Amino acid sequence: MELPTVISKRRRRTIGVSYIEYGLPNVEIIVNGKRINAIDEGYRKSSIVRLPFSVKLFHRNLFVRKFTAILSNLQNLPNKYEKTQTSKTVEKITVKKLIIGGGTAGIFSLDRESLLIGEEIFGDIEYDESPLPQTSRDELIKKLREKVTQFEDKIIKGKYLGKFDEGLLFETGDKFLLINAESIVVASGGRTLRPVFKKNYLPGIVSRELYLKKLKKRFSRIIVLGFSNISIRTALNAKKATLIYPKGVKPIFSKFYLEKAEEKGIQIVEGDIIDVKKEKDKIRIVTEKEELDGNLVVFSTVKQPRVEVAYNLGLYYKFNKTLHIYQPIENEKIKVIGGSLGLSNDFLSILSSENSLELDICKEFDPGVCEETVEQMKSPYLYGKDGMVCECEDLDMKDISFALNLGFNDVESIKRITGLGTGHCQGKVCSYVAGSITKSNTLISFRSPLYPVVL
Amino acid sequence: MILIIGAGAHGLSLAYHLKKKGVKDVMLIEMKRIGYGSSGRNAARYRYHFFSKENVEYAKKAIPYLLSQAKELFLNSTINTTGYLWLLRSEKQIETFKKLDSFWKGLGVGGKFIDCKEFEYLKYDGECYYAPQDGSFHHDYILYSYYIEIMNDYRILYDEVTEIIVGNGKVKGVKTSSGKIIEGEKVVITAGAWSGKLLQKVSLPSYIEPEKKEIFITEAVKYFIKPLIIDNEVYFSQTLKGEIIGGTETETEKKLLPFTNSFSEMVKFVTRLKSLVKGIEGIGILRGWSGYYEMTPDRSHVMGYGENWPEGLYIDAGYSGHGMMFAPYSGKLMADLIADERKDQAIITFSPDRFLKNKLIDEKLVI
Repeated sequence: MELPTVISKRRRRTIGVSYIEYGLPNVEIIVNGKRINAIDEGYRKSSIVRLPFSVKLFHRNLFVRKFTAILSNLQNLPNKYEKTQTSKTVEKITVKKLIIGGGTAGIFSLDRESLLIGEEIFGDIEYDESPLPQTSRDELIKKLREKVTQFEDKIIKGKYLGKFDEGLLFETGDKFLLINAESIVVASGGRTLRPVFKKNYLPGIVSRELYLKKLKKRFSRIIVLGFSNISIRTALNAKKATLIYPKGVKPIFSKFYLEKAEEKGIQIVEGDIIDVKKEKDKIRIVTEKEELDGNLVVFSTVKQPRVEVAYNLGLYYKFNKTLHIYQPIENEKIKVIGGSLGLSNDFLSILSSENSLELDICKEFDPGVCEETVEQMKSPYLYGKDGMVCECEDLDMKDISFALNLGFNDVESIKRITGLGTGHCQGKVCSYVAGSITKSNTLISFRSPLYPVVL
Repeated sequence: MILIIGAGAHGLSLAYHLKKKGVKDVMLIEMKRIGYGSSGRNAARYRYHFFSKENVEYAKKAIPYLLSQAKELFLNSTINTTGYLWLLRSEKQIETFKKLDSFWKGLGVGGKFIDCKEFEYLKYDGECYYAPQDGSFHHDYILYSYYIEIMNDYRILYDEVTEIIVGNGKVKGVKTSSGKIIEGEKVVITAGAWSGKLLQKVSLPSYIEPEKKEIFITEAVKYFIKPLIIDNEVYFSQTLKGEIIGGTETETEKKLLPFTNSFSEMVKFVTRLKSLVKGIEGIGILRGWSGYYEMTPDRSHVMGYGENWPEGLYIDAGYSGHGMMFAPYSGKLMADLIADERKDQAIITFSPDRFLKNKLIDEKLVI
């Protein structure tokens, strides 16, 4: 089975499509002026010529400096955007309690006074077959379905586009909604992000979400990249799996999942990745110590909360130095629950929807493990010194290093010097990864709209 | 000690030029982060084409200086001569541009009347006026280049100035919101839209008022819109990364309004944009932000100092929407004034005293 590929913007190299979530790099692409879903369409394009772009070359090469305008024509960009739809109506509404996100936590927050808007109702729990320590997954799904049936008229499928003067903007199937809410519940969940290592852009290296939703049946032997419970949970979905956590990173696994991994014969190894070799139906990960084969590499480092949603709504966030996630801090008007807090355990997600302040993310781990764990010496996204960091703007680790070497080590400055996070996904992936690598306490300003608005 | 309030393009350019002169004791005081104000929020275009002789003459020195700096600075400023293009929709507009054309020709920066059909991507085939000398750059690369040059020599204190301390008619230093008192015999206000507030603190007329503007960029498309295009109530251009960037002319109250965006402004911009350009009917708005034009009564900047000002107090602000392009040159003139007491003619022309003497500059072209 061939995975979708696209050509990158500046280096014009063939890169594999790794995500499934709308708005993430290369999920929606423009082909002959039309918007297509690269996964659904099985889009495959390979490049013939590669370009030697680098941020260093861009800034410091005098020839490039002289001909920047002409050279910019070498970028891989759409040549037009065709009219796609008849215009949507705009409606202004007021609600008492607005829930953003339709996953476990969001559904459990539903009551008679609320309105829930989510891109996907249910979310990961339907796809992830791994067990939970506290309860049976089927039991939870059953409860969720009951709740959804009970509040059917309170649920709308749509996406949050950002805060505007007139209200919070959402796009649904047939209209734009501008909502003013008395209170807001952020239940927009989290996502896994591509770690950094040499050739991390090759086809066959995909996110946990893409794997669970689309590729699970077709790929039976996987190599999982990650260091936390969510990594083992991904591995438990496969017939056969090997898990690699980066050298020098302290893994944070619960006993429960370690036992499940052992039962299933999941091998857990430490190592940095020095090379990736792609053969027809096989992908080989080379570490300093060994070579590991699989037919798919699934990255599952940690579920990074969609902080862009919370920040855009006006919330601050903090950097968790153990798990390397950014966690929004709620206020009187805006509550944060579930995956938006960094939780990946559905049972705890439900508890958080009842009392989010009480729920520390460490409850996902065995007593003592999380609290006592000292801060990571190294970013859990770093499996090597090389590799792609910003997929939309086609920036590699060495481009980021250009800014780091100048003395800039916060994401905002790196963005201003390299262009990181300014591409089509607006930093929904790279700003977090760059933040983790630099241990930056702040990210970028996630401005409205959060997704392209086509009017 | 020279204290510079505001680490935007003008503050950093001044610091860079002071460093070049070998001045040792300089400190910048920045409220948020470098370029937080208008420097990091503008559309990064340069032009010679102003309404007043004073501003055209200033641009004739400032723009070539910007271009020469772009060759020297550490980062690639992506200078691109693109031109400005005005769409002329009425006889009245054509009349105005006929006058401007002969005025600009007289100053050696003439453009030309052109059939809009020559810009085949435009959905307008009337009369246009094209000013080929103007162009674009990348504001962050200029700003950060200056910062890179001074970061190891001068300290930046991240704090807000709450008071400018004056005694016996002389500047003594500043006080900050964290309670620090920093002594300095020279204080320079390069605080953009916040400069008026600082002037009021030393009981001077504020002169400078912030006017909020919204700006939007689209998804990227192959680079094909070369000039900055100005039509009634809307302007836009394309970046070398492919995004179309622009905004609309909408009146707002002159005060420090929050940096938000409105849905209606976004709709207005994108609707006008699509009505003017072919091939982007389905393009999406990728991001919006807002910033301030720092407006003066005559829509021209204020530099130097006033006759009755406390000794040691300087200003370089109030650029009314065209500050970024002038930042390199203004920083140079201000450094000459502060370090060498060399007073360029422009320092006299753009002095704050013109407001007291009612010798206003007749500037009408704010874009």
